[in-house]
Amino acid sequence: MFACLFVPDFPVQAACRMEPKDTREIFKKSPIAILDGPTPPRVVAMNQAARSAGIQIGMTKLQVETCGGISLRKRSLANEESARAALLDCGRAFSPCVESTCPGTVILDLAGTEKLFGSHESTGHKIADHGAQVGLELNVGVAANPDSAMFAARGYSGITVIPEGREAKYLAPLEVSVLPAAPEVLDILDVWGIRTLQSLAGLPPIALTERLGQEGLQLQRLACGKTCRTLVPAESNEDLTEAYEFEDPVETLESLAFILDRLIQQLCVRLSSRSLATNQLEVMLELEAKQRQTGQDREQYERVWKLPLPVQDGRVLFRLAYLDLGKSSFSAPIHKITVRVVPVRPRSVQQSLFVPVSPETEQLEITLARIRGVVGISDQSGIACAGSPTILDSHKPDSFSVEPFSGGPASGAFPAGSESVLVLRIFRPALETSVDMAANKPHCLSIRKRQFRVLAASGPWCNSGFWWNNSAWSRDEWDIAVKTWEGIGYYRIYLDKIRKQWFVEGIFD
Amino acid sequence: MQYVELHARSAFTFLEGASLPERLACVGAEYQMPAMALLDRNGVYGAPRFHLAAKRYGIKAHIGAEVSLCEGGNCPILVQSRAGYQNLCRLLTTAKLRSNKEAIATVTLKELKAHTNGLICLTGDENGPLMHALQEGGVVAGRQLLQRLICSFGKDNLYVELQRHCNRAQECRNQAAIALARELRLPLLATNGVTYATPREREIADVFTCIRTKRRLDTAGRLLSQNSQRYIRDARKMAHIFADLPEAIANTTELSSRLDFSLEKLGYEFPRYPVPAGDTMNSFLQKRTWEGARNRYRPITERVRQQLQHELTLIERLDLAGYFLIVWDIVRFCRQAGVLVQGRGSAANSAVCYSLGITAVDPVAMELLFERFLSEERGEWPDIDLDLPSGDQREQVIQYVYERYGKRGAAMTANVCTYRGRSAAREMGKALGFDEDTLSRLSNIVGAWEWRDPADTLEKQSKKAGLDVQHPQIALYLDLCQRVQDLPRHLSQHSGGMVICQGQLDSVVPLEPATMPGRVVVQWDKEDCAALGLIKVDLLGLGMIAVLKDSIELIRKHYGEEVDLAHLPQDAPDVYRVIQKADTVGMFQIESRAQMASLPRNHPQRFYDLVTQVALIRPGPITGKMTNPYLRRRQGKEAVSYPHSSLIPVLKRTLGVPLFQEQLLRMAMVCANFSGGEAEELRRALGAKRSRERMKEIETKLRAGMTQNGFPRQTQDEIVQFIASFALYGFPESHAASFALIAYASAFLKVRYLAAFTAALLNNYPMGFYHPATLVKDAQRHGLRVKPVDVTCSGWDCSLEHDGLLSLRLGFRYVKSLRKATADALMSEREKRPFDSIADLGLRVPQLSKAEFRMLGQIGALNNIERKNGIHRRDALWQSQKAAQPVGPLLAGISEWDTSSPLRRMTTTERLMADYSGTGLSIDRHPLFYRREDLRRTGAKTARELSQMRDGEYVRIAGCVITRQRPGTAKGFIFLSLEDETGIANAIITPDFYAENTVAVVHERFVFIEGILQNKDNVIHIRATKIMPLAALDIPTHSRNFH
Repeated sequence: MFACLFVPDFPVQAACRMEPKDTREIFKKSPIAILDGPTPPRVVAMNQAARSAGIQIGMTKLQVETCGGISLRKRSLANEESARAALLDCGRAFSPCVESTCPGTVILDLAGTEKLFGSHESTGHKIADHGAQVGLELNVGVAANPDSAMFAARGYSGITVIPEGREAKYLAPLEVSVLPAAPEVLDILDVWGIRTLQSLAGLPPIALTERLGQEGLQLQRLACGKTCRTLVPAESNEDLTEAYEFEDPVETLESLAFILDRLIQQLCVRLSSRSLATNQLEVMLELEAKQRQTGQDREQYERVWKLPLPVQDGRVLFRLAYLDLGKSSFSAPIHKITVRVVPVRPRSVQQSLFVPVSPETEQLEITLARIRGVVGISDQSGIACAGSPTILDSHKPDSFSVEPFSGGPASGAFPAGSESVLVLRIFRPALETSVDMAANKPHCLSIRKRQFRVLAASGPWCNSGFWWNNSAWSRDEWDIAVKTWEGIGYYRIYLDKIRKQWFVEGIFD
Repeated sequence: MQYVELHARSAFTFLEGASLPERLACVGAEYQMPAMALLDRNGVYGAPRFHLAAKRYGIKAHIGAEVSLCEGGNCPILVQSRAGYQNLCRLLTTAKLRSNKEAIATVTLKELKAHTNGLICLTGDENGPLMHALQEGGVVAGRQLLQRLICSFGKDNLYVELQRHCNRAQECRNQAAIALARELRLPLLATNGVTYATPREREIADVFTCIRTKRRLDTAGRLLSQNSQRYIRDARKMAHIFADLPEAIANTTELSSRLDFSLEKLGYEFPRYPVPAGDTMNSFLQKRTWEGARNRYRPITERVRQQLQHELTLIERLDLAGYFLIVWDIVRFCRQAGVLVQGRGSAANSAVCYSLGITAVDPVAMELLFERFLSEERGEWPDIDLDLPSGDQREQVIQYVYERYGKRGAAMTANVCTYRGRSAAREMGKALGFDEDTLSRLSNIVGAWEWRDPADTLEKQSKKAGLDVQHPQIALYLDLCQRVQDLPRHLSQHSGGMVICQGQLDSVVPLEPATMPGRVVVQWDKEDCAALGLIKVDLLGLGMIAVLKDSIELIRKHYGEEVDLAHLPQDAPDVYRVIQKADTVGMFQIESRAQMASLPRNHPQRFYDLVTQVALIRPGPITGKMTNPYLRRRQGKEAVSYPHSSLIPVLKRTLGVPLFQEQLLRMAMVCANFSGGEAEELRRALGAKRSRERMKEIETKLRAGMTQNGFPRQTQDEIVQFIASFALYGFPESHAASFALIAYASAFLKVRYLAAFTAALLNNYPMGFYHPATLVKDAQRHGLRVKPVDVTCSGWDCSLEHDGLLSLRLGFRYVKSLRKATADALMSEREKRPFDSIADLGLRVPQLSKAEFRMLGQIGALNNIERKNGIHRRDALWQSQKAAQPVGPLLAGISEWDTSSPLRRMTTTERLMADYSGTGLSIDRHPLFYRREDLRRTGAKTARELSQMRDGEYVRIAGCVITRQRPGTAKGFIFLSLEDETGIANAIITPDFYAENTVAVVHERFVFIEGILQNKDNVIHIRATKIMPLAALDIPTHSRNFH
């Protein structure tokens, strides 16, 4: 015997699966539509409540919105994938031979499971209960062949057990749309007035074959429940995630570190058993208090470490995460921790002879994590504090960002910008100064309480940019010659027009 | 010291310049610049608007363009004389016509050299040819380039251009340019390379850079401008910046004084028409006019003779004979090619146009004033619009004009596409880096209905889309969206306006290839062409013209009668009786719900009543609250009164209510002493897209004039209200007369030749207000027998059949997914010999795909193929599925054919569903006919029964929704038309009711509606208080929704 696990309105259920059970119950009664596709997104799935409210497949968002009261969700393939994995896990809990027939449909071979789970009907109920635990409301069909089981699950809600030999009778009232037929064939059957499996079963087989080919005959056999096939077992799940929900929320890093270490070690064992490594570690923390205070969803804290090369060493991964989390402060106790690694193939090639010697990647990452622990992740303007500086394509002088080390030789050239032939020694930070203007030109300036008379000035050279965000800058630069105690000095000064402050940017050598 | 900005670019340097030409001229005038030059990239797109604005602000507008060179760089060219302007236009045309629309049009230095007469060359900014040469090959290359330019333009006509935007690299290049200028003794010229009027508009320029380069502001880097210095600087600032080079400033005024050309001296000449030897254009026109008049006026009365004489004299005096002959020639071509054509617009005021066959309205009989078409005093040029059958025939006429006057002698007018709500919202969002989801939310949230809540601002829409308008980024976004409104985005072609200039149009305005193959467009839009006095002919496609033409042919073939639209029986009572009952489905202009609602009240009895009827239901009269007073006066329920006694002659014909544009102009002239020119300005403002601002200026002038004439304040308000509301669109009388003529013709044909008219309507769909399903049902209710598509006799088009009575046979064009080529193959095989079975059809027409075969079976088109067996649709489907299945050459034709079928006959509902899904209509009884008994039990009335019921009674109706309309003038009200087996009923949905019942109103096909019956003057509506879907009727009918 075979059992089919079918999730009605799979995309909707997948979208709501992560909601709490009581919320899911509410959602079941309120209309929900799933949107997908390029602009404009269109409805690809909906629940029964939405169907009753007049929503149809293919409607645009605007059309749905005109109906009012419809909850719209964007289709998430990740959610569906995770629901699919959960459905498979549900199936695997009852049989080692599980077929992932299509999204939302899984078929199990129940041969030999009676002693474990009781009668087929009782097995069906247990499967449905298990499905509910993983957040899915299932129809379960049990029959002597996989396809009949599938049609029963698709056509009848709840648990349906078809006694062996009575497939045709049970399947007779079902609509032909349960059949795995091409849309064109379904259209043909529709215009022929063939709406149920019973009427399809009643057509003369030879004449049907003459018109619909072997596919027609196969559909008729399916409608009679006369087919038999072997299942195609699904591959094992490759998603590597471990999570731990604390009974009492933890507040100290030490308490967290104990569990974090265990989770990472577990993941590394699993990686090792599959001969895989990881180049990305993700830790997600769910904070408890926010939920109580605001009634909103839990606040999540997420950190992702991307490694330049794949590693398999649990200690390295743990230290990396521990050092990084150590400098973070959490606004509330931690309720749940989820650790995920992205499996990749381990490094199998030696580094090139001609690549300059660099520190061991693992060591470098740990060192960088330590540095970040001291200097912080980023400064006030959002620039990372540890890494490799990169000059930005911008008119803003001296603008740069700090990127993670690439682990390879430096590449790329400096962007062409200044055509100056003089060398400007830049003061970092720029020196604050005050400038007296005469005839719209700098006349004298004072640096560190000393006055200098400007002998000549060239400018203003105006630069401004980033007017569209809060990093707007605008400056008027002057290149000046001033008389100093050592002779004549050439400086670049500028007026920061946003801060209304003069600065000496540098000296010309 | 004075300074003239000689290098400014407007937003017509698409996605680069950030200010409109008018704004540049305005700011230039504010800085007391005596003149300014507009040099847009590869075109003079903005020149007319710049010229007109400069004239308004009292500064001189110099014209020129930046010409892209094949050798690199954009060379700024200033026009010195008319010859120079013509050279520039030809040069740009050459470049544009040989490049495709997407590519940048370039010219070689050699080509430039051949067109230098009357032009002054500047060396350009950092994108100019000199800087390009300096960057590519240093001083040597720069020198060589200057020498080539000297050789082309002469030393006196070449200026080394210097710009100072506070940029070090630019100053380095300037120094190199100055050195070369000194060496070659060339004059220096200071410009500011203006790209926007004020520094703030730099932000728009940066956003345009992002749109052009498909980047975001965050990632555009150094593609963005370095600072905001490319604005219009006054003389003092420029003198300060160029203090070391005063001659560069002085040269701007010197050069400006040399630039003699202005668009006033465009050099456009009225088109000439080749006439036979011995004739002048005037004599030839006179001959053709009298010849035509003898045919049109039977006989020519003294009044007609005088009118024609008067018109011909004026045409001769204004030297417009060529223009009339050209239009006559187009009309003549149409006649020869069998293309029905009718002139409309103000040309309908002319007896010459009527005699030449250009228009079909007799202006003498209609007492239309010729001066509204052509007036020496007003100094305006005639504008003739020709309505042609839309589609291939219109294209045939357009191509004839190109062929006749040469590629460079005729062109379509352009249409400037500007940033509007949705496009601005999307592109600004993209530049700011909003994600696709937010972009979609923003652009989709712009309501789909035509009607907008007055408070439905962009800010409100943004809140609706879930955006925080207080957020700085969102605030900036909204600000950018507002500022970019009305800036040009790109050029497209106008739907039908053509400018003709006897082979020399390219010396008047540059020409460009249009996206449509074989089409050429000028760089100016319709309004700019009119402003500069270019005469144009509008060749407009009108579906109803095609219907009339097809009807006439069908009548000739099947009724054996000849219908001449110019000589239809006037004021036929049977036709007017139908119109008075608002039984006007399918009739031109008078078939909409609003028209139907006013027809019984207006009760048209003669042609002029139709003219007012056509003009009555327009946004202008409706919002100006003129419609109801007029109708009340027509019914004698309100006394005829006038805002002022001086307006009696103007408004007498329309019972004291202004309905036509001309009346508004005359009112302005009578009440506010407007001159002919001012009235013309008012007319333009009424018809222009940018009319609101112009109307405000005119209102001030109107009030001043009326105060002077002693009009009391209340009367002034009334008159201003009348005039201002026409800014929302109203008809000129002559235009209404032309449309009324088509309306009358369509009504006449429908009443007298229903079969031919219905066939023509169905063959020219999409057009009009109703879906073919409604047209067919209406024709059936009027007694026409409509037969289904049948492979044994249908053609591609719907046709007429004689079997005692005339009946209409649906054509293959209504079979969904049936290709024309397949239908042609089928018809060609059928002509050889009839098909004797479905198998025979499958064998002889292998082009029939399975889906096509199935569709034919599904709609019953195969039922008659085997008459003796009397098969039903499912039999045919069963057989056709086999016939369409390939069996290979060996078995083809020899396999046994079993005609029995295990399938059950289709039920009525299934048949209806098959009809509607396969052809979009059904010739069977109306779906509600089959439900009538049930409906009666629920108390639902039929559409016909409503006319027997009392006003104010509570009723229930059921029907298929055939139209949904939410007109812009109806304050959010929605009008539904419901069809049942007896006719059409109308329901009114209030905005509040709509908000509560959106799904049923918008999506349901069959509905019950309950509400209070309103029966006023035989105009029946139900004010809906309840709407419910009509269950168990899932027939895929179609409604036409007008949002």
